[in-house]
Amino acid sequence: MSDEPRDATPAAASESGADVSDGFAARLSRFRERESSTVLITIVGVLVFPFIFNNLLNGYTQLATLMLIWGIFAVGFDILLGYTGLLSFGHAVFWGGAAYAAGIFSASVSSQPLLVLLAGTVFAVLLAWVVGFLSLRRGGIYFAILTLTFGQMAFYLAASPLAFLTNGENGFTSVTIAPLLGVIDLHGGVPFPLSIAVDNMLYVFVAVVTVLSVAMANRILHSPYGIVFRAIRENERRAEFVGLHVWRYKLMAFIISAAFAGIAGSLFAIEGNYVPLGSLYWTESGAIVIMTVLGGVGSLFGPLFGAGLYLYIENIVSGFETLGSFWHLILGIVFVVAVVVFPDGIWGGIEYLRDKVTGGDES
Amino acid sequence: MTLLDVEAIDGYYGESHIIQDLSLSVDDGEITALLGRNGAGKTSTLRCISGATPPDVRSGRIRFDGVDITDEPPEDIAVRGISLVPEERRVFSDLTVAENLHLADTVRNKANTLGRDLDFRDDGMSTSDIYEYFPRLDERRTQKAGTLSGGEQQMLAIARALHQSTDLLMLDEPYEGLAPQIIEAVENAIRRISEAGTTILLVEQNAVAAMKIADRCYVLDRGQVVFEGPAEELQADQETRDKYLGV
Repeated sequence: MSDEPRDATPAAASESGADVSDGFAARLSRFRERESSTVLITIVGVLVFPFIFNNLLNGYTQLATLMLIWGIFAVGFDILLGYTGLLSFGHAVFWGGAAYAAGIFSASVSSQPLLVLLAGTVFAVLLAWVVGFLSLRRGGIYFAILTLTFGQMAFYLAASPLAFLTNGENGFTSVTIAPLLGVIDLHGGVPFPLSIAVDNMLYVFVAVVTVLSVAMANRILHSPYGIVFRAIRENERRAEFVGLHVWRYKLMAFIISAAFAGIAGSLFAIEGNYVPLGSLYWTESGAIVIMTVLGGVGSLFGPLFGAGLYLYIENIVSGFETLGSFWHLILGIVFVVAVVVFPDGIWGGIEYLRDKVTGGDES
Repeated sequence: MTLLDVEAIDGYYGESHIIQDLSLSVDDGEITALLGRNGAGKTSTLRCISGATPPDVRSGRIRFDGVDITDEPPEDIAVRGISLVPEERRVFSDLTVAENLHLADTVRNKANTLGRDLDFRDDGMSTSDIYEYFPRLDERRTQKAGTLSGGEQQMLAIARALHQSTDLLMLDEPYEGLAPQIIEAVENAIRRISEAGTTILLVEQNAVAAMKIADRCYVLDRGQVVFEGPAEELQADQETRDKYLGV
């Protein structure tokens, strides 16, 4: 976005400078608008998160890592669902596809984590180009069904015809990950100052990728592309009449979201040292939709919260006595309650509370 | 010089023949008004020109600046310099005023016309000129367009079109639902845009208001042109006004 809107803000703020709470709200909103603030918030978030999670919420670092990985996936998915208004029901193909690509690459080409990550992501992008090109021919429900179909096709392909590559139903077990940059063992401990917050190098690696991913998503959403995506979400026909090549922008949004799915899928393979066949199954496509909606569509941070809550219920609540075996039901109830009370998801709820505290948001 | 030349087009919604052998031409720099009762085919004519389907143009040709655009898709026609400001809800209400204008920059960006062999005749009006033209928009830059009043939204839609290098601005019912004093403000804006060199094709039910600013008028009835001539001539032609416009 251009810097024009920002010119107006300081003027408006100085007019109301006398009022303390108003000034605070204005300062807060200016802070939120800056890109560096978004990055800073994310860094603080990923640093503090494992400490709170492990000590107060009964969590463990491996699950925290997984939450960030799914969070990256959800942030990208929201660019497609929340900002462009396209519901894909087949994103498991990019998540699982990237995981397999990364795993196979690590076993047969190079086991350098950064190269493995790159290989998985590139594979997801290329795959999205083809799947998007074919699926985006139709809109709405047809698009959702087409993507679901491609997802299931990939699942069955991986299950048997391509079993010589994927190891079929057993999942791909030969993932090998070398130390990062040749020196940092990803499954080892963390040096002193950082070790106060985190106890696992893999988490640090995933956290760094998360911060970069959020920064990238933020950049995309504030670029002209982001504005066009929102224009398309609101009214595709009108966007066409403005002169925008809508179809091409939709394909771009699809590919961008798949790139995030690819980053996340590759990290998933690196994290688990294993790629289960289930990573391509349609339930994974459903999970990402639920996470994104639960967190809040059309927000940058919301999907991270959605992914976290989903995995928390799936992994921690499911371990509770008596209650645990009903975790699917609990997830369903949480989803329904969240959607009814806060139609804009967890993030919508947070924003609502924040506006209460700061006395409203002018934008 | 003729900028837009519509030659004997027939337009259909399914099987119903709603535009019948309609011809009209719009001269460079003029304000042309399409008048007529509800259902006369005014909006359908604009839709044919802008490339929207339906209606389906089965015969006849539409030429813009000498180029045949009859079969081009709407996004290409928009890039060639024809902007349609449709009836009601003309802006993207989820985007701020500045972002709505910014869409025009994106469209104008050369990268977006790649492979389409299209070019812009000029650069469009600069953002600073736009804000000078429409001070209300300047005050509301960071506001969501959906929170603007009807008149302000109309201004924003026109401003966006101007920012995008528009040679022919097509306005569908620009006065609809606006208070009289707002109509006057929109009227002034249209006049100034016209003086700055943009050609305007206007569809309006409010014939009296349209005749005030138009150079040339066409009166439509059941998809056919029943009158064409200078606005003064229509002003004086009480018979046509009674029969087709009811004013």
